[in-house]
Amino acid sequence: MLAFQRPLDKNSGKIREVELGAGDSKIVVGGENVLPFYGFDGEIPNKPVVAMEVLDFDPKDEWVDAVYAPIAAVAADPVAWAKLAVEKGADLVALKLLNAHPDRGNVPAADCAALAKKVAEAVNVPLIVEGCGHTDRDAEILPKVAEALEGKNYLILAANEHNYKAVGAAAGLAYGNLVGAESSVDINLAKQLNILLTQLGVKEEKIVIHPGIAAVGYGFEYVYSAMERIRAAAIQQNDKTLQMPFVSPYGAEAWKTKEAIAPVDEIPAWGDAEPRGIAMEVTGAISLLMAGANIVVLSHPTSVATVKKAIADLL
Amino acid sequence: MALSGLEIFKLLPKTNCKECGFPTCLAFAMKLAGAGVEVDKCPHMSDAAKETLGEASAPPQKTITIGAGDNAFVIGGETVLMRHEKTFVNRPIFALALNEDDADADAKLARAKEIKYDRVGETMKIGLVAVIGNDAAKFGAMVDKAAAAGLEAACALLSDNVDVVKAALPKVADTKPLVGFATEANFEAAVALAKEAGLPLAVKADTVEALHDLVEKIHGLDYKNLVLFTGHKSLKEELADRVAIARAALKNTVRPLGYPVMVCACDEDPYMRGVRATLAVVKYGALILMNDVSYGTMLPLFALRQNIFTDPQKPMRVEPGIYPIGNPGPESPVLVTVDFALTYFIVAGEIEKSKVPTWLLIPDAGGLSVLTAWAAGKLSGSSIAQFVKECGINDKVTKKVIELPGKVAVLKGELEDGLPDWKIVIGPDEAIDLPRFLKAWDEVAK
Repeated sequence: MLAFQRPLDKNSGKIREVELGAGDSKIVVGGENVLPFYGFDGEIPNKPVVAMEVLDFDPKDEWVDAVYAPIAAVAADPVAWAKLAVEKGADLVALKLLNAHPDRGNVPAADCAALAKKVAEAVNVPLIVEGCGHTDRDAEILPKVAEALEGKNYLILAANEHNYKAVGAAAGLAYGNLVGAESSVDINLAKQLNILLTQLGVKEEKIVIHPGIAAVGYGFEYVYSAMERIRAAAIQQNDKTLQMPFVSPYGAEAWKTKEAIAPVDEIPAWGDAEPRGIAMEVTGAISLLMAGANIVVLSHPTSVATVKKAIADLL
Repeated sequence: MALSGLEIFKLLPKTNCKECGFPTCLAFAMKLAGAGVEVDKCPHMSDAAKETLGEASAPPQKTITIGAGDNAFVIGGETVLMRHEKTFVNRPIFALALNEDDADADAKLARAKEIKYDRVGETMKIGLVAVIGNDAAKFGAMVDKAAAAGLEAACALLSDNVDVVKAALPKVADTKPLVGFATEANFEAAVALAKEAGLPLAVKADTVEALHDLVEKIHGLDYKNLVLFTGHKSLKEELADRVAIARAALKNTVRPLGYPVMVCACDEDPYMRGVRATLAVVKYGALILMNDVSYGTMLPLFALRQNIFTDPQKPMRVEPGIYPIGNPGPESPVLVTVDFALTYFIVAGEIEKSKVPTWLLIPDAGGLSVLTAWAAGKLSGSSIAQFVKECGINDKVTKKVIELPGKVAVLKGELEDGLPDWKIVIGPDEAIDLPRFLKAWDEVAK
């Protein structure tokens, strides 16, 4: 009888190592030449990391209690919130500048930049700074944020196909930060935006792919397969234009779903919202990690802890 | 291993008799290689050649049925490692696993029974209850308890001691349970038991290598109704085992590993249990045992399973109809969108967020998104008008104002012609702007 041998895959491609931050607090992601967590096939020099979300306003009226309670004491102060995130074990802090949105107050770019700087100075972990999702406003505020964080090597999220020149040039070229390249759930769109950014002069190792996001149960299969396809192209077909790490801002998506936020008196059988919401975050985050995410952003401290524990057990 | 057309050709009579419906034996061989025709179409092939070909053309992973009647579940039968390569076909079973000593069994069974959740046309529930243990008396008592709980579920009897399973089997034999474990120590007795009752058999070994060799021995006893298990390990080891099994089966056609895999997502921390089950759903788990279940843990897992096991070539659809959101009344807004599930979820989510009670109308649009449906001719002014007239919304509202998605504003004229009693207003291009739009409805609808 022939002894059975586990089939192994040798890949031609490798994800670029991307450094976030500098000095003692530097984090490196990427570098793997295998599919996510397939250490048996090759090398995974750096583990995926978990960021915790911090908002620029008190979300008391918008967040359900289950996710608000753990941050209630610091919700009004982004600096204190960021410190709590680090205390809770987050590898990075993801500051979201939602108040810049025209629907929320159109906060001036200078104020956004000042807040980002204040938060950056208060914690000893690298920052992800997310815009408000409004293409034009992000094109205005994110360059100012990048300038305020000059040379920090922090991740500015995100440049899309419409504002990549403004965001990409500021973050990736002028001010020594990283550019999150956001496209909507499609391998070709992701590739195109990476090419546009590199043509602009942004170095490949300064780009992180934001491949689009959806909650589990709400179109998640598209995100999952788009990421698997991008990763397969990068690793197996050695497509250099797709060999950047992924960032997946997931927490906010999970806490929008009915499964997470339906009040217990509305659907008593489902039980308390907190375990549902955390489970939605954890299941989504683990699936994203298995599709290749190198950085996931989560909202609830228990989700952060659980996903970190799972990553450690998977490597 | 799959045979090439030329290898198959060598096994054929080479008479070019055309009785198979193909002009030459070579043409038939080529078609066989592409699995485009049945071996039986050739009446002159020798039995030996047929066996060789039948073996070679068998699917790389066997499909196994556990349970009977309404509670029969099919697992395995996968052909690809990544869903985007084609599709995953058989959704994994979520199961409650009870140890024979479990003091909380009653509460766990009650929780499992309560879980019944309709999501996009699919009823999701706990599909199987497994009893695990080695003491005949305790094991039997737990099987009785599980059977008495009245779950609509299949059943599994799992012990390292075949006699324990044999003793308990009559209690649930009619449910066609999964039995096990067949191990290196007892596989002959275990196979005899499973074979006699015609039941699927769980085969257990500590490593994939040992499992492979054990299944070869079981193949030697001519039994192929199997489920594979390599035990409860670190997440890393479990993933490595499942990838090795799936790759060997699907890429290299290693027959002894061509079976669905059982996973034991048994952790005290419910969130880690969820992690283990999540990994099993996305990476090659087919029967997922959990030591406790609750709505909290299961809701995301059901949703994930539904997503991952959707055919990428066939978009998920929702049923056409009237969807009342937030208890709307006769004066509430009436919105139209399409039956593409993703669009529905996003639109319904934004309406819920707005807290404005709304009637959402979903006509048949071929399961496509708004713009695609319009471009494909599946969503037109007349198709919407027809639907509005027939769906019964006329009896539900007195204020006849209907919103048309901004992206198909061009349909307004045609819709006005079709619905002379209605006022047509143009909504936002993107769903995210719906809350603002709905809050200003009274102004818009004037």
